Amino acid sequence: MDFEWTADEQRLRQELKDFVGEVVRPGWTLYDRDMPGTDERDAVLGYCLELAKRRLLTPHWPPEYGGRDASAWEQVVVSEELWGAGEPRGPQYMNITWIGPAIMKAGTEEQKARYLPPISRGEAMWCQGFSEPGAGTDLAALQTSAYRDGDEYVINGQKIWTSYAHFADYCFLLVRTAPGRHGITILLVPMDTPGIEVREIPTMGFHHIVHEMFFTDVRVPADCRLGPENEGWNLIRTILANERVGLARHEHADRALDNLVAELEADGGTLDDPDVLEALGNAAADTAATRVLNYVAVDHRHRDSPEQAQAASVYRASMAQMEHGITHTYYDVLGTQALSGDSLGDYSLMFSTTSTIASGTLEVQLNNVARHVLGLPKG
Amino acid sequence: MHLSLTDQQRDVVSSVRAILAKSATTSPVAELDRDAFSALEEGGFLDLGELGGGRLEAVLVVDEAGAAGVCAPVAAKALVAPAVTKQDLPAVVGLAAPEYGRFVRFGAEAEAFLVLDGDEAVLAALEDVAVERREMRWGYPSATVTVHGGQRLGPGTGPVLLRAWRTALAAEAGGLMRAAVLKASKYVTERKQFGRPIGGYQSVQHRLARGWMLAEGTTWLARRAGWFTDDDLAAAAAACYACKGMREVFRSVHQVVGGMGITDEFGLTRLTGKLAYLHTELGGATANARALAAGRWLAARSPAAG
Repeated sequence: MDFEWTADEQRLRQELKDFVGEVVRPGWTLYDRDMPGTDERDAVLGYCLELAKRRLLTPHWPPEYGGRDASAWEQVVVSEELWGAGEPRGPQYMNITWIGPAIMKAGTEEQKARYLPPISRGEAMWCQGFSEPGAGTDLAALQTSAYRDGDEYVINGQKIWTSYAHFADYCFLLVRTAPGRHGITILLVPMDTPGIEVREIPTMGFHHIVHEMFFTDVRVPADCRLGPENEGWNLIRTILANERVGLARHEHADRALDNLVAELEADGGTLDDPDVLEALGNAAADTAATRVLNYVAVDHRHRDSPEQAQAASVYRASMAQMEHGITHTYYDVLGTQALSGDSLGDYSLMFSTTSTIASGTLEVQLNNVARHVLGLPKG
Repeated sequence: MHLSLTDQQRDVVSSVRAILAKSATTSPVAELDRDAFSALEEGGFLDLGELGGGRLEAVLVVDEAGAAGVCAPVAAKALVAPAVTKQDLPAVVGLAAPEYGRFVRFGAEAEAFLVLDGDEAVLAALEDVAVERREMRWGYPSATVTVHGGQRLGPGTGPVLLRAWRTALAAEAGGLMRAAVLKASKYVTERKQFGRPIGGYQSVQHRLARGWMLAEGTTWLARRAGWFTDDDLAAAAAACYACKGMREVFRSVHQVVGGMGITDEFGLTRLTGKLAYLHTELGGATANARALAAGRWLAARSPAAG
């Protein structure tokens, strides 16, 4: 057991700190990564292109796809320094973390050649077409259908909660091609295909990010299919197990506490109040625990251990609750000021509200721990 | 970074587990388990330096003792004492921190005391203390200890003692919480109501899943603090998280196990009594949280920190 970062990892960390110092533009905020408008989209693209140019976008990918086979630990360092700094990566974290790896795992050579280079160059924007009005946590109940018509699939249905659909080039789309779990197929759909309509869903705080998508007789070539027909479910389960493990949300949360202290003091407050110290310390302890649980999950994945999915669920449960804790700390320390638009508490409340819902609810993570770690029976 | 146990660490864990499986009592009474303690001492697991082990290996031993529900000052002897002094101490060492209260686990059984006194640690012999045994049903035999003398171990030894103690507290807590959650999980898998195991209800599952998360977080923070032995923040974070976790796990496991959980016969109280006691030590979550925050945001600004 060894908790130290290697010299190479420490050098990489410094390189990333220097990079962030160089590219952060004045006025850059956490909201920019949601790409509310074309200016922010262009900024996100510019940022990702720069990352790619410096070989920092897909370092853990194999060299043949634009990476350098960096270790899972280097990936952690990259995420801690960039995500921790609130980088404006937009939807490209999905590309790097699981869409690209899914294509590497199940794609044809032609698909790999078509989709992976634009991702590794930082040019491609993807969205994920998973949830539907009747299929959220129970994703396998999805109803958006596709049937084969000669060399094409014809898609009809509706997706919902689709982040970044307004600017996406492609959609990683789950469709039903037969009844049951074994009737789910993955299609890689260009978003400019006729018959796709994207509508924004206004939400609390997040502007122009959440959408619903309507598919009406959308025709795509059959070679858009990823993997065999009706075998999408197993692939997606494997790929998504590590979806959030790749993001160093503990680092972002930890820095939010530093920002909170700065905000408190800028407003004339002090750390002399023992209640303030207690609130900060409790949040810092939760963040420290989430950090080390992330490292445990990464270590399992790095070793390709059979317990990696369980470790990921423990981490994800901790992470979601940690983010709520950060928000509560903002309330406790700043009071109503935490809710003002110029406080990071405002963003923290929005972000943490969705963090126990999106990409697998907190309840699902706890169910996974209960069943797959503790061996409790299915209800 | 690699977080799997080394072969040597695996051997330590399996040996301690085997020893305690044979020797640990199942008594729910809060009294020193001399058989288990002696067995660990004879095996060399209270003096890991002899076996080539360090703080991290001591964390693993203390964690296993916690998981076995052993009522003995394993942490004080195997982990805390070697951090503070090279002197050969008797087996039963009491840890005292008057600024956090006068209660000392194993205070009436202890043959020597390590006392936290600000920046210094003090090694107190029996003649340096006044001891009064106190009735205690929760987890450990306890006494109030008043220190009036002893050997001062030098400037800077106080923080060393505090770091090691916080680390030890978290290590024992991690093992205790894990064992309590697993024991409750087994029970709710077998116990049926309305024709099905109560462990199938989400309200039960989620309590235990959170308990497991808290146990895992505590265990790993303790290991991390055992690695970064000079890091005050790592130790304070481990102790703070452990204290919060112990409070919640106590409540959760008793809630899901119901009436059976409070019986002597079932054996849960042997674990949870220790959770109740331990989560109050060193000022509990509150004092450790304040220490963590002060260390992180205030210490760096003090003149002494430059």
